[in-house]
Amino acid sequence: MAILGPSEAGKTTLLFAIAGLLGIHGTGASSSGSVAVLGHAFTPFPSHPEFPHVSMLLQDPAVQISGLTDTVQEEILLGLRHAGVARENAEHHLEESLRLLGIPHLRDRTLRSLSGGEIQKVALASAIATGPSVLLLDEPASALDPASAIALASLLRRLAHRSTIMFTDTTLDLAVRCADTVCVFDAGGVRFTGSPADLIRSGSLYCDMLPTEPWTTALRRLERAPAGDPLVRRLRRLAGMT
Amino acid sequence: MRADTDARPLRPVMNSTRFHSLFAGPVLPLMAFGTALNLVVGQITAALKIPIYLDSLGTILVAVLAGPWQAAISGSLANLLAAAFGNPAMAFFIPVVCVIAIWTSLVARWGWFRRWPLTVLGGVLQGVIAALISAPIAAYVFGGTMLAGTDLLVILYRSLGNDILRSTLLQGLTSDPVDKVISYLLVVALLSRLPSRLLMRFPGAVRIQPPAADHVA
Amino acid sequence: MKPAPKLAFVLYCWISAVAAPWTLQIVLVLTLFALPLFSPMWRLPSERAKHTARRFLAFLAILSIVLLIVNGLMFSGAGRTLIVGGIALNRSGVLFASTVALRLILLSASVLFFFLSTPMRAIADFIEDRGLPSALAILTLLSVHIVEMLPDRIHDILAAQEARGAPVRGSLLARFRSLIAVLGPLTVSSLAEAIERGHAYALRGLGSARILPSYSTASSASRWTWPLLSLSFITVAWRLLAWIQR
Repeated sequence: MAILGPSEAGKTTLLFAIAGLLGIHGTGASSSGSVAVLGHAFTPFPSHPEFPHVSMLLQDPAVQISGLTDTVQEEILLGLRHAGVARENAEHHLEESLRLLGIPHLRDRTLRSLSGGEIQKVALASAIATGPSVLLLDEPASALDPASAIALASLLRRLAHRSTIMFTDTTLDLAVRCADTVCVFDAGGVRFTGSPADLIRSGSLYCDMLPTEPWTTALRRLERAPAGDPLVRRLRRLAGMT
Repeated sequence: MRADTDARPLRPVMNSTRFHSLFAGPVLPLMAFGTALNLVVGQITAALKIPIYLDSLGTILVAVLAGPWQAAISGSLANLLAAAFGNPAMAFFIPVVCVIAIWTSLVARWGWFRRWPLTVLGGVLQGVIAALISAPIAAYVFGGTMLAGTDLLVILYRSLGNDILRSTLLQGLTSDPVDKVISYLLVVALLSRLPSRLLMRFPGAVRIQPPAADHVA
Repeated sequence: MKPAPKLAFVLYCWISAVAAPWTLQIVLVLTLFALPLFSPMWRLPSERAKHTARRFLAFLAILSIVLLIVNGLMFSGAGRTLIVGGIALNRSGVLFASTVALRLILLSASVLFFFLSTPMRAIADFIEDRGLPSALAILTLLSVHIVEMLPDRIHDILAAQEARGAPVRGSLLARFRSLIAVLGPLTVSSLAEAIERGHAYALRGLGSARILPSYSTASSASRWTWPLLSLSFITVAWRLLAWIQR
């Protein structure tokens, strides 16, 4: 599920509320309401993270590296250890998360030697290693180049078999590639809920509000093109819009 | 797929005991900053060639914005870390830190930080109290040598014929009020420069200035 | 590596520093200096740690000499004088200074060697594993992180202030103004980062569960913990008894 909207719309606050971060360290002290996570209703918000059932990737992944460990392997084991996973089983989870992210080669690298993109992958690997039921990502594509964004989309599609995934974004691009549902936020309220295709089809103001890259723009044009045209029909079929 | 946990009940990260309510809001990060500020503010004053230590600036900041217990914990941690980083004497002055935390919170609660003459008075009294408590520790545990510039004052007073306890007390009464008054005034100046959006998230913010006063740095 | 036996030894050193006779203190100081050389648990892990230790020991040596001279020259009251290198020193002053110096060395070297030879992570684990409030573990980690980060940030802000023509080298009053100008942005930016990092720690489950024994490398040194703690207790009790009898 994608949470879309302009900055300051309250997207991150929503993720924090679900992750149980609102109660601690004082983010959003002025918020009110309730959240239900994994069958538990919280009124007001949950006061502590539902670790390890809910994981979250913060907007700046570098902050998420604990600073307590030297290598990628130790960093991922740290979360597993706190989740109470026995050392014998931890090895399996470590390998699987590295494989899913396509970074088994980074296993013994020191954290200081990683690039920005690699750090994001390691942070994500630590987040999924504990097998969370819910995975939250705060603007995961904001610092990525287009090629990495496409890779991220396919990764999220793969991860969606394991966890419920919610991510925030200010553009429609990642959502079009991998989300089942989009939810458009503005001025603290929900303005639209539905599939990405529905959002494009609706031609709503909120669709225009979100900046897009050429691929998404093409999809939008295709959606508005006359349905009688055989070429349009064929292109729509290719793009999975029918 | 869920990582198989080993039948061990998970303790919540923050439960709602009274102890944990001390750290509600952004207080925990503030305490961490207070601890760090105590430890490194000396580097700033050295870089600016200002001849004072201000090594309880962080404790005072936490005491004003959060409360006495939070300031006492943060200040004690600072002294423990200072001991670990090479000045073991600091660990023995934890009682002094706790008294600074409590006194500063009282001063804030009385509203003395709203008017500068009262702030200065609070600082002077703070200095006297700190000197009274630290003098016996400095004299009996450390023989008046604190690995600091103030040792020169102790030597001066001893050369005038005072015994060790008297010399450390006189040294404290000479330097502590100055240090604490400057710390108090600095904290007031600093708080007036913080964005009110950040400031108002702390329980003690209302005790310093009316909410309308908003000077964005 | 479990820090418990080491902490117990540090505690024993601290209690002995104020409560034990000077002969025992000398034995402990010698033990302390031998530990990093002979015990793998106390080995200094890096060249940087060794450098810090050397610098600190040199500092302690200088401090002890200053203590001896100051107290030897200034100790008030009668006492025999010792002539050392042509300087007349008060004997009781020198004795007093030696006691204080011994105490200082014991107090500081024990803590220093403990922190230089124990990784931060082992200490954080220890705090959590004892069931101490997880907030304390997070507070310690956050503080250490900010301490490491602040010097660079202070340097950057000072440089920026100087570039903007702020009076970094003007009169005392002007320099105080610069101090406030540095502290403002420093507080805002450090608090923002500390809040983020606090979130990250909570998300990684810091403090959420006890650490399983299979992760910590068991050490045979653990058997030293209780005898050392008992020794500390006995020292305190013995000292209290002596004080009451007097």
